[in-house]
Amino acid sequence: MDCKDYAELIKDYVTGDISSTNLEKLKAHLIDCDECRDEYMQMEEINKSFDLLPDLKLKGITDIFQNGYLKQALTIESKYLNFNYISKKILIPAGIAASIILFMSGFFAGRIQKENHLKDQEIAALRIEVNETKNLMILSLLKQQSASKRIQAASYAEKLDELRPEVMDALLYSLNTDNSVNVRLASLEALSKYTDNPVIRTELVKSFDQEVDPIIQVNMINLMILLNEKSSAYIMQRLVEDVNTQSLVKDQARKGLKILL
Amino acid sequence: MIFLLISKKQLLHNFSYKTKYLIIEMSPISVSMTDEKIMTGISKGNPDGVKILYERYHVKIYNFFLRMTFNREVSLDLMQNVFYRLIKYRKSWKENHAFIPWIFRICKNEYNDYMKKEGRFLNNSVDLEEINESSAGIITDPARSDQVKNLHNALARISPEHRKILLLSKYMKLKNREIAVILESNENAVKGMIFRAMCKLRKVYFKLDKT
Repeated sequence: MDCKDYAELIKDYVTGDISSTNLEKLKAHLIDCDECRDEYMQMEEINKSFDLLPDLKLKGITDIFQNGYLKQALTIESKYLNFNYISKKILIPAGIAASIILFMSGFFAGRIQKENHLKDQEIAALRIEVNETKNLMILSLLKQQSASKRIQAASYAEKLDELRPEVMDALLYSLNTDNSVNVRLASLEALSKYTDNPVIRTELVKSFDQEVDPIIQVNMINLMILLNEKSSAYIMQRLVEDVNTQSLVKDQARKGLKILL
Repeated sequence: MIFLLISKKQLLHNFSYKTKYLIIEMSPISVSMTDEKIMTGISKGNPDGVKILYERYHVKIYNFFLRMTFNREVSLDLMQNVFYRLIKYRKSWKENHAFIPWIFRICKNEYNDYMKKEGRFLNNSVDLEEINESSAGIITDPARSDQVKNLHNALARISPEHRKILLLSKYMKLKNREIAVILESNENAVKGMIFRAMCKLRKVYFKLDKT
């Protein structure tokens, strides 16, 4: 082996890739060869210098995660990291929970609406009941001795949603037969609100025919004009021709005839 | 609706590696864990491991950059960028890889990118004197601190390529095989590079030693 071969061994030594037998051979050669020894010794010194290199401390920043630039970088990236981490841990269960809540709330909303619907029905039933009670009250009030109570009954009758047939009969009865003119007027007024009903119309015409009281007659004529009830014209004709009819009623009847005919 | 679609997708994704994931979740990051296990945890989305890896390696990486640039400010930036990249490129981590070559590959890339961007304007070795003084403060023996000073001065005078391979091999004590991974080369080429760099350094070192 010559120096060229030993140079290869020195290379192996430098790169840290030398076997112990080769190292022995190399060291034996170094005793004789000055040139190779110089090279080896110098390389060894540099290797030792590298071993001495100290780890220097960071200057200026003590904790980079607290106040350094890396903190910002970490917080930006941590959002992704945490999102991924959190999404697996929390968001998915949260998503499932949210969908369940959504479903449940929809379900309950539907139920509540249904309940409201039921309530509406109940309210309607209550209204009917109240209406019936009112009808009954009117009936009983119309039978009262006191005229003012009967007038009250008639005025209640104006505000009913639905006029029951027995109440209608009672009102017609009081219109035709009541002692007090005021009660009869109130009854007439109440009945005039329900003239959509053809039965009431014919009944009104009938009672108009039999009427003798002038105040009621005038009111009847006005009502007939309002209703444009042509079947009542012959009654007015009779009133105009009758000698016993009061002049006020006659004038009103003439007016009515003009408009109706 | 979109939310539900996303969560469904994630749910499926979750199931696909549920078993692996559970193992990581059940064993919290601890100081005794290997770098590779911690890094796997990070790549799966647990950020706690970053601090442990930082504690383990930031001084070495900082000192590596310090001997590459002899500039404290730049070294600090580069070191922090390495950990930033570690977080950013965590998905490129492969479980069966070794951590040290992987992180030093990041270091190498970070340094190369830095040189491309700022190298022309880099004020070379601004902190060389200060670094020599700080080293002398740590090493009490004057002969030894002279040796270190000499090495620093010589390193500052050789090319960055030579500096890099010597620091990886001699200072970081990485195996030739690991350096080959970092530099994307093979072992024999790495050996050649180390030897050439050492020859270059030797000349500069002993020239300085004489003066």
